[in-house]
Amino acid sequence: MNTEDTLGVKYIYGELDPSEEVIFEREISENEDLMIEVESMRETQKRLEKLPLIDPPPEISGKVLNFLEKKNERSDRTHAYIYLSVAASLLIAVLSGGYFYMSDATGSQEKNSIVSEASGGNSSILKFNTDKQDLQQLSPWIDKNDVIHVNDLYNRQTGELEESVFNNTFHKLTPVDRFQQNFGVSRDFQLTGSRN
Amino acid sequence: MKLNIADHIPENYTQLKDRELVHKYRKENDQLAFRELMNRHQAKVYSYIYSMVNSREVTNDIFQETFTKVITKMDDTYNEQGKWIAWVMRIAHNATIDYIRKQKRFVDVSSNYDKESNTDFYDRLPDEDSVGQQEQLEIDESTSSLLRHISELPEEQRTVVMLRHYYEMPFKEIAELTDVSINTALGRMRYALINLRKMFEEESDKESKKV
Repeated sequence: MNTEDTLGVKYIYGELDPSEEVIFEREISENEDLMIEVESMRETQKRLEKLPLIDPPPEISGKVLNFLEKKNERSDRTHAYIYLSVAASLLIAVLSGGYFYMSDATGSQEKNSIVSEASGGNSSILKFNTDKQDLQQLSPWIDKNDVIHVNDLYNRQTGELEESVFNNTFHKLTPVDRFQQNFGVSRDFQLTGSRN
Repeated sequence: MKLNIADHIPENYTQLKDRELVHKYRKENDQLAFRELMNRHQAKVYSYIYSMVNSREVTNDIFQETFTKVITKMDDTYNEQGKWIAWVMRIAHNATIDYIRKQKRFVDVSSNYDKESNTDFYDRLPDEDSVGQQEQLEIDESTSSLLRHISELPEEQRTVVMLRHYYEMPFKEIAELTDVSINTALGRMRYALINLRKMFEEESDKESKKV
């Protein structure tokens, strides 16, 4: 099929460029056979315009629309799950961030370490650190400078030491012979068991 | 259950262009927009499929399959660059061709023509409901004759004729859709028109001889 043969089809369906159309029309006027063919095709094309449009049965369209609704319901649910998940994640992130921020802030405020210097002995120093996170994890311990660290023993409201915790802490330590039951910040309180 | 798809579509939707409706459906999940799109094009899609497979039952199946795919793939596969209906037609065409290939034969309507009863395939189509009967009655003799002749065309030629007629699809797009060169598509159209012309002449000769 050469291009010449297909120009007639393009012509009757209006797909020639204006310049091509002028040239083709000139050709038609000079070529009787071509004119007959083009007119014949045009006549047939006009008959094709009578082709009827057939509507689908309503129940078939209805099935398609039902599918559309179900698909959108599923889509809505999926979107709702996604939104909820994202919202929940954000909420958790915000709450966690807030908690850590607040605990850090209060922690820095509360880190009013109380240093209790033991009297006599090897001059051990009892240091109360109010870091709440450490309280749960660490038992009282003694660092290389013979400082005993006990976390979060300071009651911010009462301004006193938490006695029960302090006692518990105390049980884990080895008291010296001249131990005195005085929980205050006292020079009479001596602890050993560190480096002896 | 009979649904009129045009029901409940606001008038302002009918004034929107296809691409605007597509955008509304995709971005706002607006089902009315999709209804309007379907309302505009469903008859063309259905007619095309019907003209290719010549069976109402099969047409119903392919039509449903086509729009199910359209709904499913519209969110991701379709890009809004091209015409929506051309994209839908591609799906309909592929589904139709798949069916025809699965059948491994083309429906040869001419072989179904009963000379004794002077009825053709379309006359003998089983009516499924009153709408079908009404539709059957509305097809006059010349249209029935036209449909019969078209069904006698080779499948490749029929495809080009129907795509052009129902969708006013440019030959370039028809060529792309059917995976041939534009000259081949134009050539098929030319042969289809020439063949149809011959069929009309033969028919006219027969009728004049009868008289």
